[in-house]
Amino acid sequence: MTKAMELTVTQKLRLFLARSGQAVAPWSSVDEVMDRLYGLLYQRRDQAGLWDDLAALLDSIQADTRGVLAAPDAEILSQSRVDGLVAELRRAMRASVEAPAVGAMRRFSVGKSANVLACIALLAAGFSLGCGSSNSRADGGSDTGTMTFPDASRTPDTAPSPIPDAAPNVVQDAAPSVVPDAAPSVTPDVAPNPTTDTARPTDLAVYPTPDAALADAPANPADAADATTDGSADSTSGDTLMDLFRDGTADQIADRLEASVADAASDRQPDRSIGVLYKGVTFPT
Amino acid sequence: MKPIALRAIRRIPRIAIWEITAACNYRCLHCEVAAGARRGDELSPDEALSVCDALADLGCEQCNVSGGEPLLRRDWPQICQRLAARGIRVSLVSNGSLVDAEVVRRAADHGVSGFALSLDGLRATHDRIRVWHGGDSAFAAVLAAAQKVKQARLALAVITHISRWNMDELPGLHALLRELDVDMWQVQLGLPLGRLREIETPYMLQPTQLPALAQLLVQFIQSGPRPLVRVTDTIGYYTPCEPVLRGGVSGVWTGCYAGVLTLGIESNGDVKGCSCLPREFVAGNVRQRPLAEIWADESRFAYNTDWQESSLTGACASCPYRRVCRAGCTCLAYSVTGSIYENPYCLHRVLNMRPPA
Repeated sequence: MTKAMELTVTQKLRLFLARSGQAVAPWSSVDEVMDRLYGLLYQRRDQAGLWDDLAALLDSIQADTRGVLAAPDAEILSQSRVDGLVAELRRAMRASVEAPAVGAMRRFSVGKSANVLACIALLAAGFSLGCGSSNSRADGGSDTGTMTFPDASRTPDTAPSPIPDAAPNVVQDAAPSVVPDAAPSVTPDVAPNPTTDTARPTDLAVYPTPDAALADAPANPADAADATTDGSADSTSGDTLMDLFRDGTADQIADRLEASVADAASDRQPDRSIGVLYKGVTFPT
Repeated sequence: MKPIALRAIRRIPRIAIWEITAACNYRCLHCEVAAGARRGDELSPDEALSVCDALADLGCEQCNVSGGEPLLRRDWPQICQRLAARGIRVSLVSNGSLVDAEVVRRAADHGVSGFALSLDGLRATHDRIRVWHGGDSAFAAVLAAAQKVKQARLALAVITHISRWNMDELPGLHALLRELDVDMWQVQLGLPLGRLREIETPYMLQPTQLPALAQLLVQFIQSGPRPLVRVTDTIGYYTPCEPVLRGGVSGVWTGCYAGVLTLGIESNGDVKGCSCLPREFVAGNVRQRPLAEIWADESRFAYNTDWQESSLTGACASCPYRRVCRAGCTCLAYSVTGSIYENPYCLHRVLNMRPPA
């Protein structure tokens, strides 16, 4: 028996933002989630409650929960990137009582988008100017209450909110020059790498992997007649497709599919262009 | 820029999945919408009929009337009848517990063309997943319902969530469905949403189990035409068996069409591109805005209408199929990882990223 499923770091960040009234669109990228997070931290740096919530978030992220994610490689952020994020945010929390070191800020800047860089810069400036003492915290607006993450395994039940552009706008109006244009080229522990970030632990094979069986699977002619009833790619016959998947390289198959889909789509006949639709229950006719 | 497959397609909600009520007499452990109590803001009968008309006006061809348990909504016959009268094929998706001869007769009389019954394993497993109070075995209820549907000569489908709990039972289940003369067997992976996230035993199939699952499904497909095995969006993609899994002729996964050719409606009138998507994807509510307007606003379905290749991460970012596949099932990718731009539940990925023996 194990615990119920945990959220990935990305899901925790989304939940944190949603509960803070800064939900990002679900189709936003991971980098956009990060942008919004730093924008939020800058915007509300004077609110003590925010930092309490952030501490809870970071504690949750650092908890050892990898064994109970939906899948072993559900975590799309590499451990090094997560570690870098947590370390930087903890530094930011410490900096709420003392200005952050310029060197740390430069180091953190590698791999960040312009928006994030500017927000980080403003965060640093904010710590120095506005939220460096307990007095300023007390004056800094309402405390939204501490977030607890141990029971945050449910998906957020928050209605989607409009996506404010506040953070980027603030960034453009304020002091972007604080962050140097050319960031140092080292800090591989922080910079995201979209390709190699997938080098994460792999699951143990519970069942044997039947590559050969998959490769040799022929189509069942008996199924063919039924299967065409709800649409099929007109320009690619079944036999050709089977041959293609059996003999072609991944690049060849992909190129062929892209061309086929583009051709079919250009006919403006959706029922004949998109392969088979599997949403809901589509009874054979 | 729009994805290749969507550039010239006219957006029409051809298939709608409508959860007409959240009420359910079961509390299934794996229920992704955590159905149970009826929502206080459920659409009224008049509002529901308006939705029927709006769907028809938008060009909807098929509507799966679902729940919760749709038969717990009193006006389900009127809803089905209105949909059918407007030329939409109607299927009822039910847990089977309330399907008796009278219900089947009423369904047929009100234009329902078929039933889809949930069956998630053989007796012990199915009954373990279902949580209900009193009565006989839920498994037995499904079998009885299936027989009633067959006797009425309506189309009969069975929907199975494949999990670690029932993986070993799939051959037995396939044989049973053949014995019951089921027309179609729809198989899908569970999504880590709702109550499924709370199951305290490993439940979800793991990506490394996908090849074995695919092998099983291929065997079922090759064993004969009945039941017709429908592999849903959650299972794939791009291995040599892909054309077999997706129909035997020319069906190949070409990405998610939520919000492009499909539509989901919740019992309170919330509209999404697909009923499986979590609440963050709600595009609007029919009480606040006509369905046609919600549908026309492409920006609310940006996960497909404005999908960004450059946002892909991990293996999906470097996959040769990335522009066609778009990281597989949007809902599965998002609910597993928190991003629609990477999906570990991928046969191609598993087979090409295996650790050395």
